[in-house]
Amino acid sequence: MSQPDTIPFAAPPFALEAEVARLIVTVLHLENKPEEIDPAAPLFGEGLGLDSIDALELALAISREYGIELKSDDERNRRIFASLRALAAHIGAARAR
Amino acid sequence: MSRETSSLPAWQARRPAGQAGIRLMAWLCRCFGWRFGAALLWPITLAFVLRDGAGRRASQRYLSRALGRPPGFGEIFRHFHTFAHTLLDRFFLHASRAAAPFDIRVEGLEHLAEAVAAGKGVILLGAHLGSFEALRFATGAGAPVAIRMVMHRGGRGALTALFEENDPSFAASVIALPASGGDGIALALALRETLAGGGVVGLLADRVAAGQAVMTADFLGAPAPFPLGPFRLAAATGAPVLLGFGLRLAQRRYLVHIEPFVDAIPPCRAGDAAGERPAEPWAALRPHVTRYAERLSHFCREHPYNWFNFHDVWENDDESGRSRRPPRPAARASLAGAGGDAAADHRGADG
Repeated sequence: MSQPDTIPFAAPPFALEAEVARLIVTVLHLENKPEEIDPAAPLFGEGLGLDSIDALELALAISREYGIELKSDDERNRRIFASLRALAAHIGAARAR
Repeated sequence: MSRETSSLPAWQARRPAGQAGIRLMAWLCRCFGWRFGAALLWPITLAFVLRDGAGRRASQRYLSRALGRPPGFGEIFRHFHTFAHTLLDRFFLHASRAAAPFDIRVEGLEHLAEAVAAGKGVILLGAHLGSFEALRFATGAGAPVAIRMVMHRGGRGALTALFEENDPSFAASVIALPASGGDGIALALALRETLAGGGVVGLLADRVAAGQAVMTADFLGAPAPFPLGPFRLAAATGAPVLLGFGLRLAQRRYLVHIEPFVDAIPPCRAGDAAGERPAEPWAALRPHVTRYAERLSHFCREHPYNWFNFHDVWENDDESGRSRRPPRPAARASLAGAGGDAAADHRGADG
């Protein structure tokens, strides 16, 4: 699922979005196809309708796939998980560091 | 994938106990002690039993199953009265244990110590059975780590506010369920961090909140919905799971019972190999939900007046035994069955 380590920063943003979309669908067993997820729609509540255990599974998967740890006391969490696009942007930025 | 929801359960539609009444009761208990409070519970319980028709009928249906015969009025009264006593005891456990000595016997604490020593964190599954507070206090003395309960906080519960005033450590011992409209992200990450740090997370797995993923299992002879959240949490984190109940035996006498449940629930990742999705994504959790319901049934039969869900848990029993998940986009973040945005604690029991 993750891209080869040699070209991680070369991937254009929408490629990472597609990759994270596949991760979400796989990890959470969603009916949606990855490309059906609106990148701007909320992941929780009104959009995909994920719940707290989904959030936990997603956080574990992100840690596993990208080595990025999300903290419960991080005030940015709401923004990070606001949408597929926001999540992919956060992962991209964290990987680039 | 079938992800469906439970509709708004009856307990969420009920009103919490009155703030003023609880404050008055707390003041009287502080001034005159446990015995005075216990005496007051007779008329208070009688008023509740007479006024709360829905609760009375739910108690009757539950006791019919737990006792194996229709209960009399005295038995329904005893059910309400036992609940009232656990609330009174909860107040004294928090406020001033010296003022009201409790006899709390603990069995199985070694299982908890063993599971904690493994270092993967521990999920302690409880129920609205007896007093989880008794369990928390009893294990607090001997347990290597404190138990953090997943429950509702915030401005709603008059009782919770009272407990937090009386016992500053109470707030730290709670992992808050998301408030209305909350997204559950903070809850998810707090759960993960507590378990990753080797801590104990306590969850009550016998009450379903609106919008929650549920699975039906046989409970006292008929199918009842159980929340999947606690079991999905176990599968997602690989933490060992134990059962823990603080059973009320008599006045100020409790038996805290802890038993092993499962060392680890394997992750539910059916369908990711060939890209095929299972018809029921959480089918692997079925044996665990079933066994939880079996153990709960067992303890309800042994201690019939200890189970405090005064609403009809079998109301959706026409469902098949499948797991259901909230239909998008109506899902809301909730976990332990302790609330939703329209939720009113049943008489403030959950704070």
